[in-house]
Amino acid sequence: MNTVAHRIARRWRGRELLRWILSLGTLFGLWYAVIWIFRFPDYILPSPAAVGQILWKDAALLANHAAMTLMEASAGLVLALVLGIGIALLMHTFRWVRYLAYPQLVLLQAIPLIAVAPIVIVWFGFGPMAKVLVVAFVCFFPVTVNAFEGFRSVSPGYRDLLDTFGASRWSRYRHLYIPASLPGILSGARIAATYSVLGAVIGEWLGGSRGIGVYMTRAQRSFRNDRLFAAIVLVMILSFGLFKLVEATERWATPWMRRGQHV
Amino acid sequence: MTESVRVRGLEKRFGTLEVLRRIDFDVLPGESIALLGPSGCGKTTLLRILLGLDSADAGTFSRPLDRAGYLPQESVLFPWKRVMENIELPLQLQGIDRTARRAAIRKHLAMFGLVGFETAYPSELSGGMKQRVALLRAVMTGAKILVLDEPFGALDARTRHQLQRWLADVVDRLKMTLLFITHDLDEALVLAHRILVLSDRPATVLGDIRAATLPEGRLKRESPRYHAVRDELIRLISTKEGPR
Repeated sequence: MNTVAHRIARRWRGRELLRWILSLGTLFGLWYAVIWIFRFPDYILPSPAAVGQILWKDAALLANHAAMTLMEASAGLVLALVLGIGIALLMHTFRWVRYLAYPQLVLLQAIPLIAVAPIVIVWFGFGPMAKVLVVAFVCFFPVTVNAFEGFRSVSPGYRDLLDTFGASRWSRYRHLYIPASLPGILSGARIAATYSVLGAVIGEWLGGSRGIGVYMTRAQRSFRNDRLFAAIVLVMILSFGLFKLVEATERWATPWMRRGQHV
Repeated sequence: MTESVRVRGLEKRFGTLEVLRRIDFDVLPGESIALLGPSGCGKTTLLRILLGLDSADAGTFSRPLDRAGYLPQESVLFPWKRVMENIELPLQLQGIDRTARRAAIRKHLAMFGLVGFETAYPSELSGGMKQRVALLRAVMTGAKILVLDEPFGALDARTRHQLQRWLADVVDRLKMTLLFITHDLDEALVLAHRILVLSDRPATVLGDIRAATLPEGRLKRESPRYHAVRDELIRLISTKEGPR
């Protein structure tokens, strides 16, 4: 554990921490500058300090809403990963599935989320299930396409080699296609992770009793821009957290990539 | 002595493109055979047919080398598997349990210069070491014949030179038959007992040159015979005469 803690500490001590301080400092600086130049009152554009105050004051309430959003986002992401990898496997294994499914995938991606979310709410109600499905819908495309491209980009030389070892179809997937496409799948999951919180929030906008989206609609109705901004900050933190979690999974699951080689 | 491989009248076309025409040759047990020919003439296609990875349009061969120890031209090691995991893969696919397969591999690690590298990833190895790992994996298939497609083509001259001698020694010690493709005359001369010279596409056998006989071993670079065979090969390669 000590080694892991040291490694994390070293990572954060270095240039990365400096980059983050500079980046956030610039953001807050610009934020204050805009308020100062345009003389915006707090109810139009609250200052970072005002937003920080809300985050502190409403911490328990926000945590309660954030927990629900995080649960919906994570469950939807996992569902998208399971479905996406499954469909990609089928598309890779059976040509007819590819011919049938690929155009539909592209068409599905073209449907705006804001149009799909109300339909899902009508079908599945205002509970968390509907939000999980909205998240799965938004995450499904990047996961599926990345997984499929990962399977497809495997060099045929490896497959030939496995054939000379007498590998079965299952062995080909176990020893070749799945590990070879893992970096692609996780890269798709990283993109999907940033979409997932957004998907959950959009689902919550349309109805429900808990979640950051619900908090946002309530703040909007009472013209509390400071709370809206606090919710936005929270959405950013959750998205970033999920992104980093997938990134850490990627580092753990593909140790050979850190040493600079891939198929 | 019965032949390991007997190829007769092998032909292959890809659509209208004729790749192989009436290929005949034999490989005897313990022999090392080099397939020498210009790029794109069909050498790899010939090996793929013999390995059962592709089908021939005509001709016969005594048995497909579908369980030969094969080393393809590229993408030889699985980057996500460590050295030991790469080597044990053929045994794992044969259903041999982990303890037995690892014990079998450990007996050969020293001969292949891989002691201490069992847990390394391929990206941490030099080009020469990668080839040694791939060769040990090919040996671990349990096949008595090794089929190598330009095994040292991507290596620098010094490493290539060292590995050629080392491979000859390994093949002799393990009493294996060797069939390999090369563009390098010297590689063919130091490794092979016989050199099959293939013509431009459609490939046909232009000549079957005996470099060395089995009991005596292989040619030495400094021997007069080495230079005589080399001259003969150059003459044969230089003939523009295509297949008839």
